[in-house]
Amino acid sequence: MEKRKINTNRPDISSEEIKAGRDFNTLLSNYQAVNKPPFYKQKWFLTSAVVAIIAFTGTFVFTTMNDDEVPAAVETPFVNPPLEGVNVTFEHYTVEASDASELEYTTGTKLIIPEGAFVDSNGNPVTGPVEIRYREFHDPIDFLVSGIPMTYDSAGTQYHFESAGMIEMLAFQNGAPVFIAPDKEIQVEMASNQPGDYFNLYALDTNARNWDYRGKDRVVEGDTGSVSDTLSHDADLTSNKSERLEKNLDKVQQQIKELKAEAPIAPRKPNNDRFNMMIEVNKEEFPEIAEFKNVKFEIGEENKNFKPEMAQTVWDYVTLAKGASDEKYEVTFIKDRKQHTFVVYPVLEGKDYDKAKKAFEKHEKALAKKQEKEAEIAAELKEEYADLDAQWRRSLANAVLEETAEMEKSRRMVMRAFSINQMGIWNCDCPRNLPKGALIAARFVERDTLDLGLKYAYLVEKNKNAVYTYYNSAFSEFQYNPDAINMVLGITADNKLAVMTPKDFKKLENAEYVDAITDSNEVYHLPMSIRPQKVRSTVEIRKLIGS
Amino acid sequence: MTTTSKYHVTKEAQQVELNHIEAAKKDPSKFEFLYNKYHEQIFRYIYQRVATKEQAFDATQEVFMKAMMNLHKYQYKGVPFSSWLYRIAMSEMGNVHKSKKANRAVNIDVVHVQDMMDEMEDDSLQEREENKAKLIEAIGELPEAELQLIEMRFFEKRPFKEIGEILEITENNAKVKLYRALDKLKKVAKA
Repeated sequence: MEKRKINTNRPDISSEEIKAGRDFNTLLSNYQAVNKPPFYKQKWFLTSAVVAIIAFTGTFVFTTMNDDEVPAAVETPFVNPPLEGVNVTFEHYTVEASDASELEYTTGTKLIIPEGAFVDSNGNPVTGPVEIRYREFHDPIDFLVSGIPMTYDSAGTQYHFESAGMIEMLAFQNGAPVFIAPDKEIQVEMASNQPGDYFNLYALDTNARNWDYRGKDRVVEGDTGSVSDTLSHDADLTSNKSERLEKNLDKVQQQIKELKAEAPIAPRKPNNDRFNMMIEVNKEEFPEIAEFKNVKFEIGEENKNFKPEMAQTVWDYVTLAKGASDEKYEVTFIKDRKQHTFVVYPVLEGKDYDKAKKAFEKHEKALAKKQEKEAEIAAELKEEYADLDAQWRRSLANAVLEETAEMEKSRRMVMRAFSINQMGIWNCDCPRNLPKGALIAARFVERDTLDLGLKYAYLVEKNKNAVYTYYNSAFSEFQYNPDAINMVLGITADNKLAVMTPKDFKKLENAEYVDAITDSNEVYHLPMSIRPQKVRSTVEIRKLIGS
Repeated sequence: MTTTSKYHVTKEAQQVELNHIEAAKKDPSKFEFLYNKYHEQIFRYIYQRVATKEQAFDATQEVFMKAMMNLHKYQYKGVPFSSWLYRIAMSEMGNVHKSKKANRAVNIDVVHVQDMMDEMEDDSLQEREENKAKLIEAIGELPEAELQLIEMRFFEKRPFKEIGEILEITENNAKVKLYRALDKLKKVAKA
């Protein structure tokens, strides 16, 4: 970079002096000098070019219309679950429309339905059985997977809901939706973990694509439960059967190992065209030929340098060593400074061969039998492991479900009472602004570099029952509270869960780390980890992200 | 010290200006109104970045020449005419420095350095004159993009919205970038 000249406290220049330097006339004449119309704007050119331009334009328009298909605008559903196959499930109840009824949801919520509460789509009173579908949303994971918009536009300002809980209630008769009669209301006493009295009541208007303010709910006292801190499930990853099978398998494998160690090599008969010789063999050194009687070593045909007269020489030393494969050995003849090494093969003749062959086959048979046994035990053990794994998973899943249900119930500290006069989604919420404290331009990446292409990033703050949803166009102005415990969740294009954990957020306090992840445009490349498992339920998401 | 930003205007004044722009598009001589209105602002912007008055006057004329040449492209879409002119001026400054017609100069008023130190909210910086000297030196060493931000915010007292419009970034992004530059300067000054 070129060194800049730094001036401090340079005397100011007056407006008068600047004004004196103005010269519009020169500017205008310079402009006119350089701004003569080009030849294609001259009159002669314009006239003769008209036809050509029309023809060209016509072709261009025609081509453009054919090549570029303009997709029809498709409006995204206002309630749009982002994670395929995962949602908060409905509980199903059946009530008699003519009678008053009271339903209790798993969280302890009570639904008090008066008699004659339903009408059909024509406004006629409904009698007979009515199916009620009901579900609740209590924490950021529920809000996220449901795809219920958690923002509220008021007087042109967008707020984010901090929720004390939401419900969705639908009713059907013979598969057709039914509605709450105009003169009736259903009383809801929703179990909630948010005791504050600052929450408002809103009904979701999916046509206006906004929440409709409906006043305030009423907080009623509720029971506080207790919950154990640890997950308990008694399934084990071993059983008596598996232990017995494991022992048997070890035993058989040991036997196989021993059999292989003492396995004789396959005996072969000598080739009468090849030279062979007797060599004294140390049986301990070569157990595989220890049982061979009168074994000879035949010079292999690969030894091009072997000469039969070498056999007549009295060598000082003759050594035998294992060769490159089971049946090969190497014999070395040494005399003075001369040394010759040849590949040799053990060979047997007559009865010695027959006996060795029998012994070899017997051994092979014994080994095959043991290996068969090994395969049998291994298969049985695999099956047992699969059973144990399934038991363990079932038990874990049950424990998680039980614990979650227990926690859900115990967390409900108050009952929030309100009436609903229409089916759909209702919300006890408080509008909040985006978190404050830090503002960054963010890009969510995998393995430091690869842009995840997230459509939305969901910022969750611990101890705040809210999800702050950032559309990707707003990633450049990503706000968060550095003093809070933050987490960002995202859903990838292939429907996997991406997580930026509180630990990852903590790293943003480190200037060196920030420098390392910031590009030249001051965009923070925030790494997220992709959970490889395909998630199927909110329980699994909570386990995966450790919430 | 005169500051240059006259960013906030009434709707009526803005409409008058738009009428003048449309008139100048049809008749270049009508550009005089806009030239007279913005000449001083643009001059001061340039003078802040060059060493001599002569260089500043020449570059200012060049900026207005380019503005006249490209006026037909200007459409009011929320970005004020002044910001559009500043973008041309910024680009012209880049050309001038690149072609070595004028060296890049950084003109610092120590009063503004004090403003920067106040903004850094670090009492330990305030105590020593030596820190101020380090800071001035560090400003001169900043990358061009960060220097622009410091100049516009502290020496020319521009609002973030205007800075964002001139640099073609969002207001918030301008804030983020400025505070990162300030942070950098703070570390140098404290070292």
